Amino acid sequence: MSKRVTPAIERFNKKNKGKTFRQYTPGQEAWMRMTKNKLAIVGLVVVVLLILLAIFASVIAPSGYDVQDYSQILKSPSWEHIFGTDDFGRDIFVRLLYGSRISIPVGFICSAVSLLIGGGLGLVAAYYGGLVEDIIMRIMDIFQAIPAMLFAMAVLSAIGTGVANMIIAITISCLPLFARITRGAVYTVKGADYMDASRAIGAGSVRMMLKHILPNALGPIIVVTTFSVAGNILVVSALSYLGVGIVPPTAEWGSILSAAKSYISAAPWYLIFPGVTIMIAVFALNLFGDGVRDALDPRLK
Amino acid sequence: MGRYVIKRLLQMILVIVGVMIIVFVLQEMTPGDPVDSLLGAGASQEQRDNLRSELGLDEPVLTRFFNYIKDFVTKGDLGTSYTTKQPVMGELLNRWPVTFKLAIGSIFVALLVGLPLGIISAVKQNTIIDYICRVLSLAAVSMPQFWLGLLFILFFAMRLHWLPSFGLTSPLGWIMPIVTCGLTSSANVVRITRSSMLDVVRQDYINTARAKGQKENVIILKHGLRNALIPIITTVGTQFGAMLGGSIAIESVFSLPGLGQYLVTGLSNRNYPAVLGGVLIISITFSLMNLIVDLTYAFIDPRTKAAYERRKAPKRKKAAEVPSA
Repeated sequence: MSKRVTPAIERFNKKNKGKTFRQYTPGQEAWMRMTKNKLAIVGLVVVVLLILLAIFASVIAPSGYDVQDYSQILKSPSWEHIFGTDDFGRDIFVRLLYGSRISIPVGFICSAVSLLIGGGLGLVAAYYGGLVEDIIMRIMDIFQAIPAMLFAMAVLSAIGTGVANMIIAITISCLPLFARITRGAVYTVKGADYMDASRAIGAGSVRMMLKHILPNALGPIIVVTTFSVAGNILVVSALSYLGVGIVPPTAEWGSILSAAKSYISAAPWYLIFPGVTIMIAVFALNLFGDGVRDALDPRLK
Repeated sequence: MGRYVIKRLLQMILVIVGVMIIVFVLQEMTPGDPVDSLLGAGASQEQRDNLRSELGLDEPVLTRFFNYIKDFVTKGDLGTSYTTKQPVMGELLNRWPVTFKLAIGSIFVALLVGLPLGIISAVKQNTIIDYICRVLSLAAVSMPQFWLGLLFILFFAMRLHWLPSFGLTSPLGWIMPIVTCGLTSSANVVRITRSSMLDVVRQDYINTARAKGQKENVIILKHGLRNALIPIITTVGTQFGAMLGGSIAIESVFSLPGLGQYLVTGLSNRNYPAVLGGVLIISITFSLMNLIVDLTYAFIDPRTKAAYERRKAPKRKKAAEVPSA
């Protein structure tokens, strides 16, 4: 088929003679929209910084996270201990630094795994429909009837505390969210003409799902994943605060707060700094998430 | 409409049975024996066997499961708590109001703070006010709820001595827990109200209303807000569920005798009937709330109501068409 040149195109070509126009993929366009959003970039930078701090915690920290110094119990912030010390004379800054080695990776891993499993279930449910969909979604309904936090607690008390078990518990409680979002997103592309076209040229089910449906349904799924990392970090800290997540002496943000509870008026810094740390991490992830959502859904701008 | 409600209630029963299966499976997986934690290490084998048959733990899981359901449906009996020897149902009914009041109060605070801020933020889009509302609400959802509660205790109870730091000995004790839960959820209400209002404000009928000279506040509240309500109600509904879960931490912070505390102690004592009953009553409350939210749509939005009533009609029409074709 030869290209038809209308007068308008002719005029356009004349005006822009010699200029080259770059074609952008939707992904590149979204990235460009996001980099214009200053708050999102601030969020991204803070997240990257926190990840770096977590990776190099042992290099940055002046001492180990469980070094106890009984001459320095509950000391207020000073140059020596910038966030003060806790009830065992341990440096709170160092403990928060090491704590990021749990909260941040757990947050990301839970989101990634629930994306894979929950998203996979949602994709299969929406693609096949019928009985398969009914079974998957009814099971997800049951999972969703138990509030996520309570579900994670019940799973943790069944399989025991610890980092790996916490990941399992939070992942299970996140599954319905991912399954539902993915199913909804797949539904929006399922009826498109190119779906019929690719089926007509003989694409198999797996190819249809991974190559044609998934890339086109990715927007809302990415947005939910970004926000869920932030949510998971909050859940991790709440579970540890209640004593069912990570237990002392391992440094974890929530369990530090749980210990700080007994010294609220004697050592306010013990309560304030860990909370502010959690808030900065979650806030940065949420800012980034907001940016991602605006970039992927220009309608909301 | 009535048919839809019945269908949803049937679905709910299935979901609740599913929830019970999950909790039974989790309890089977739980290491340790409730008999051990009740009797301590020094008990003889005979004592342990006696207690085991007394608690009905010597029967197979499936028998226990069906007995549990039978007792619940026929007698409203949820078993006896291992630790207090009281009927679980009674204990739950004592604690449920605390959690429920906390959730309802928090929703009220969330709407009171969230709706006006969300509307203002949308109306003044991209101004400094909008900016402040957005950043503040994002900061509020980024805070661990229990930490906000602890901060309130630090400032309002320890430093200023305005409010009691825990318990419900005076009505003032409700203020901090409700405000803590309410503020965090209000942030979500602000965000959804803003984006939903922004969607609506761009519609043609808003321009029409302006063109015919309607007052701006009538346009925003009557033409705008009413049409923006559905996503807001959905969010409030999900917030309610999150609150039933989140109240666990808040109840522990403020030492409130609610379901959350009951579940936490139940989980740590391996008090099976207590945990099972607690999860059950929370799931039932949550599912009923979701049903109410879905039904509210019909009252707000006549289109949804019409869709409920139409749902059955097209099928009949189709069936009538087939023989003629």
